[in-house]
Amino acid sequence: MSPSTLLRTFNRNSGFTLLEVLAALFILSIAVFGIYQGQSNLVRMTVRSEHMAQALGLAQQKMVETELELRDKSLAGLLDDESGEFKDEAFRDYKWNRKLTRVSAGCLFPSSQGSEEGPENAATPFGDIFSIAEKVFENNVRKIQITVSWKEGNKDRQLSLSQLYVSFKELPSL
Amino acid sequence: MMRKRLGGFTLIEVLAALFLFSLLTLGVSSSVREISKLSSRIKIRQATVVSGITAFDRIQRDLRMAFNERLRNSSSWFESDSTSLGPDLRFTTWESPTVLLFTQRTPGLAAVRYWLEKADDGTMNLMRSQVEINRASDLEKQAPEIVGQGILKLEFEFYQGNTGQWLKSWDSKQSTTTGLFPRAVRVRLSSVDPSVPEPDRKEKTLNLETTVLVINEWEDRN
Repeated sequence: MSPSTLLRTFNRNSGFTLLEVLAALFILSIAVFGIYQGQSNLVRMTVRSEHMAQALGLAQQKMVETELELRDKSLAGLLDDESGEFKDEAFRDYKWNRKLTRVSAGCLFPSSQGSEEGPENAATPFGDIFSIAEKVFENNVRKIQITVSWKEGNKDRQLSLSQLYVSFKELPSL
Repeated sequence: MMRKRLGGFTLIEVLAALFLFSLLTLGVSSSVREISKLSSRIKIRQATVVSGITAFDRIQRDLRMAFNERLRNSSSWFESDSTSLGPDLRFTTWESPTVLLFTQRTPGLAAVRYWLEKADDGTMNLMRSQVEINRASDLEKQAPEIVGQGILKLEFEFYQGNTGQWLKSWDSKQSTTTGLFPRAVRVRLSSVDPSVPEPDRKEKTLNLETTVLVINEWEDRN
């Protein structure tokens, strides 16, 4: 075997060119970057679920506190829109907002609401019931909505709970 | 000519190639390290969240279904006092509907007890035991289950209906003026993944707090 043929075989086995290595590394780094993105997404999700769990507990707490308050006060005794913060050190990042909104009795009598025969209905027994129901809804039924909001990085997040509350105190006399 | 072909790269070429190669390798390896760090952080975070939320939910569920049998006033009770480790809570409650459905056991009422026990890693385990209500005296002897690990703190507060006060402990036998049961119970729970070393625990703690309304017919009717 001549030296030149030996060299040629050697050369053919001598591995990659620089360009090939660079290309391979480039592709690898793209893949690694992708994995990295996915992982940091996961971190964010975990933090998010942590916040959600905390916020849900706090929102439920506020709802129960509202119900406890309503045992002593009438619905009119609460402000329609109230906000505040949580006293506890651990939950300083969270803020709450409570909204009380009226509910229309129309949901019970869909046909009688907004129809042209509205005024005539007042004379029929049906209309009578409707007006009573309207009064009850006006005084004793509220939709309570609790919103807990917090900051996550630079994004605002919030979670809302709502329920209908019927106060059996001070029902209007028939 | 032969010598020239065997000469290969110049020193500069080799250095440049090495430099480029090392730069790229460094980038890739550091991001790989970053990824593994991240994933261990995720694991810790998730373990904390899961164990905390599981324990928290379990207590809430039992409290929501707390059973106040006021009429016969014999077999239902609600007690909580503090030990050195934390609260020891015992009360009667409805068993879970699923248990009722599958075991067809009557009467479907149970006594449960929650307490904390020291674990080896310096955190505490939340223990729960449950017996059928007619064997309530065996509650202490019953084999407990661990419902939460890595608990750092557990606190209860009890809302006394007629005075509107929050109490630290509750004894249904002495608080009969307000009904046997509290009107609402506030639960505070702090947990951490037990594998986190002691000094880092403080910032990795998950704090949860909520208030549960306890159905209390006795009080409602009076």
